Amino acid sequence: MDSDEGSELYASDVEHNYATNIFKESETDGLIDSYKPSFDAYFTHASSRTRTSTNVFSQRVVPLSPEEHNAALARASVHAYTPQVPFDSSSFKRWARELDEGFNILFYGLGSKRGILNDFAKHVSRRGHVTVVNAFHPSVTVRDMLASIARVPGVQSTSTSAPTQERIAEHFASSDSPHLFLIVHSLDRSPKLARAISSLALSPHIHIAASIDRLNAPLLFSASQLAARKGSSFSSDRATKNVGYSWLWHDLTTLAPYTSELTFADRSSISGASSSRARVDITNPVSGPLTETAAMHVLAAVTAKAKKLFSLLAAKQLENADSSDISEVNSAHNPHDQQHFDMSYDALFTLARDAFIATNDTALRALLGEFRDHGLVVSAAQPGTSGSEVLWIPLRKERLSKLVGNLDGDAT
Amino acid sequence: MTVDTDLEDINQTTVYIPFNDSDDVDTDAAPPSLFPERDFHQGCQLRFQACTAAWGKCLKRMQELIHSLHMPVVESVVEQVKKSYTDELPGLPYPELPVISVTSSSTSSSLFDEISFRLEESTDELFEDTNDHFVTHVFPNDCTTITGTMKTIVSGFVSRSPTGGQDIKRKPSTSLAAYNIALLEAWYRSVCDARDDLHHRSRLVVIMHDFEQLEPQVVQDMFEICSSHIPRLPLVFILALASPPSPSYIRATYPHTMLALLRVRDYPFPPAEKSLHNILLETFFDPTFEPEIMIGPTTIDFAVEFFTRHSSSLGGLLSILQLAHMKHFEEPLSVLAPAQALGRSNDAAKVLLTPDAFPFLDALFARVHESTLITPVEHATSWRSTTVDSLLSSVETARDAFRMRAKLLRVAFRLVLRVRQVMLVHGHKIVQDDQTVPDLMCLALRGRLGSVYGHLCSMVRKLPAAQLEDFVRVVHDFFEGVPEDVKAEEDEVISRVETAYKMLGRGASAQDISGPLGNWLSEYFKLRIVALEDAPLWDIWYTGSTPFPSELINPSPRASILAGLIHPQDYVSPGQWSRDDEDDDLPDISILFKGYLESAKMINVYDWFESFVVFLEARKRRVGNTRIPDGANGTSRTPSRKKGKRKQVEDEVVDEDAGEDEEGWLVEVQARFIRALQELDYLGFIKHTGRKADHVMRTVFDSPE
Repeated sequence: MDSDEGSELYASDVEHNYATNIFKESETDGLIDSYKPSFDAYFTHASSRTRTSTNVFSQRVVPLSPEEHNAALARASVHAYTPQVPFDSSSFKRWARELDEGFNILFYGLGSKRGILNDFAKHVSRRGHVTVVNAFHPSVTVRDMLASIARVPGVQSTSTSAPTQERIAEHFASSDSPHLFLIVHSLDRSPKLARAISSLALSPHIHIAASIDRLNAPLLFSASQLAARKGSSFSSDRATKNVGYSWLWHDLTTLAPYTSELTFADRSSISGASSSRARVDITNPVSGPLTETAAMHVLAAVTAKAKKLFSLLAAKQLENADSSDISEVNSAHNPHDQQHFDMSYDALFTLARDAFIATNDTALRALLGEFRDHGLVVSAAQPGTSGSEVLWIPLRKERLSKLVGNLDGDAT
Repeated sequence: MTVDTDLEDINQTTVYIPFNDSDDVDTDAAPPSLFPERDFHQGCQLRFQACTAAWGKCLKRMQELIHSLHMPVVESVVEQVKKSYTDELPGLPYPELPVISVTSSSTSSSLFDEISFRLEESTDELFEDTNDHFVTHVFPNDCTTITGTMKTIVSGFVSRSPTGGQDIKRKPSTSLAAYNIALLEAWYRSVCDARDDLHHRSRLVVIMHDFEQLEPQVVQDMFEICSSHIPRLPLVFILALASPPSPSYIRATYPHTMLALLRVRDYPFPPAEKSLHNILLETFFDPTFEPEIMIGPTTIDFAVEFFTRHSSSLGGLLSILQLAHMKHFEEPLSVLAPAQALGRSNDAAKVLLTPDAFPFLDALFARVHESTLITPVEHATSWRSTTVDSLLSSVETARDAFRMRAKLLRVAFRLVLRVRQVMLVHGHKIVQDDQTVPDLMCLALRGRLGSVYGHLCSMVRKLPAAQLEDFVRVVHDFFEGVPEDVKAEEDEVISRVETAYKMLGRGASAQDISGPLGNWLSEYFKLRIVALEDAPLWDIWYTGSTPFPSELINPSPRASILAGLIHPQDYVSPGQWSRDDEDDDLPDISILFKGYLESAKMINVYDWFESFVVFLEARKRRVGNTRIPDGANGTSRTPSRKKGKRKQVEDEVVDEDAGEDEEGWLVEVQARFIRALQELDYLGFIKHTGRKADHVMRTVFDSPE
């Protein structure tokens, strides 16, 4: 069959690797130290105390805004080495044949497989209907997939709601139904989808090509599901009630960056790509760092007085930041954390009254309210005192000064 | 094209591409040949058809075997379902819920399709027993809660209309909840009314797949509920168990109070390995069945190993053999596997006498001429007069020779097994009796069975009179049963066995019979059990020792990902990886992974970031970019353990003095770090424990090599 370059070298069973390695050790004494099975390594690490520095990444390094991140990555394409693994699209026909033979295909290996699978989707669209599912999308649901399959002519019955899995499996079980090719990107990101697919995968007219990325993705499938085959061995014309996958595994190492798969990850957090976080972020639009453009949008919409108040606070914060650079050595371990340049509410009120922005507490709170709602101004109780409130703008120094510059430029 | 933009759009969760049958599909249906240097244009398509035919024949045979394996169990399960609620023990304090447990680990899961088919359409005309039962399937995924389980069971039945007509819509306001068993009861009553079934003979059969995966608490509640509704609701449960019948999973897991409600019947299958051996033997070593393609020892070895070590499922065995067939027909010469593969001789000539078929003809010509099909005397002259016809007729000759050879091998092998079995029955000790049937098959196919049959024949020579009679009869009966063409071919050994049989009848001494008989059999085995590779053009009909593509069935994705991270250069075409120093061309994720492998159990993300920066800056310097200010090199960025004033000043120097370029570089490095970190996270290498601020935990402890 077809297998990518290098797969023969590495596709051997992990267990098997250990066996040969241990075998080597016993032959040549000198090699004993050089090899350590992973469980040994685990216990060695677990028994010793971890020695790491006390630096905290999120405090020492300011998260980049999405714009900065994308711009930096665009620049990085010059320096960063992105290897190209040769790929021959003649494999498509081979895969299509394997699908015809009643197998489903699962692609594994390092690198984003999305591009190749999308090309494959276009290739098989000449053989039947195709539904591509982006399972890495945080909000993908089984219903989405079923609704998309329902667009195949004839599947959708009179009702308007998405058909059930049973209905679809039944439809594609009849011998005169068209072929459906289901292309699933990163199947392992959505176990629910994987389960739903298991009840479609054995239908003789549904062909599945999916990719997995996670290291432990094979644990998704139970042994009996893996061994299940399309077409009942009892009679070929009856739909099987079984669930299973009937995978043929292909190593499709592309080494391509997971750009589209990680689009929904929070670039400003180190745990942004972990699945639990990614789900939360989609429901919480004000997450992530405040960007300059976001601030500009908010500022364009507020009254002149509010703008004035903002620049007042910003100027004070910049002043604090400048002075702290020289004088406040204590805060030096945390130079970018803006909370250290905050301003107490009382001080701001005094300043605002002096500048005729707000003459009473209610007016000032009303002005601040808009900024707080949009995350432009953050407040907290001042540490050490009771009830006293401090305010600051969560923007790094350079950006803030640029913003203030723009604001002043507009004002004049 | 809109399809392209849709496919690229990551905000879409799904994209639908309609069937585009404007293009001609047939011309490009066949995949390109793996060996274009000795193939021809139509070869792929023809081989594809040949493969389908060959595999179809093999599959049909195996399905029959599996079916006959299932038969007794299916029969008794169906019988049990029929008898339930009628054949009860008298004097029970309360009715028991009939439960049938089927240990199905060894067999293919289509067993339950078979059972449900038999239950639903059982029409026994003779006794007017036309009431078909209702079957619903329950999978562990649906059964995480008791509500879900009950809903699955109830709706599994209720979704069918009681009168057999169209689906009926139930309004939620007027109907009982979908998980309420009273709904099922009402439905069942109306079914019985509709069918005039006064005796309620229809059973409600629930097949629970992968029973071990179900939550015991949920199952307990479910049985409790169901048992309170029998016998008004004639429920019968069939449990699909994967664990062996003893120690019983059900009895070990569930408390006695629950088991008291059930009446459990076990239907175990014969041991898995035994059925595997039987199926292999009956498919590839049966004198009366000729598979198109003979499977070689490597494939048999793999199939047996996979079956015993990974998944003892006959479905897996079928997949393995199908793959072996598919791989075999990648070879261009295999197009000649079926008789008259290219049609009649005129058609064949037409196909092969085109310019693009010349490489194929060349290869075929070479193979035919180096084989023993043509005698050396002819060899010197015949090549000049070779035509396509003569080539193809040589192939036909080779086919017949191979077929016969394989058939005789099968017969001889079966005799060896038979003799072995007789010896074991008579209590003789056989050396190497730990060899399984597949082991012997592989030896026979390689022609290395000599020590086995040599030993057996020497035992034959020493057989005492009492056992000899039995033995000779067995051998005689064996040859009675072989097909006619084999009989014609083996007349020598058959007549010898006949002689021995007659001598036995005349009362000759055991010594006189057993001695020669042993020699005759030994001679016969020696003649017939020879490697199939010795036959001319064997590789058209025999997979031989070609390795099985095991990574298609039993892959190691983990090793593949690690290899991609550690040695990305191995995946790239040789020309592209130019530099000697590998480190210079590592992608970001591999650089980060290097640090990962060197670190301890917990990784401080900041330290990791620093090492990444150091690595990149060192590389940048090596590449020769001299524009990096001194302050920005790796050493000063690495925070020392003592946080002093000096360090702070340095940091400030960097921050203040660095130009636009430097700021850009740092942002770029940070972005690359975050990207690589999140990629590793995406692959599952990182666990966020939250135990220490901005520390992550390693999940992989494999060593790099």
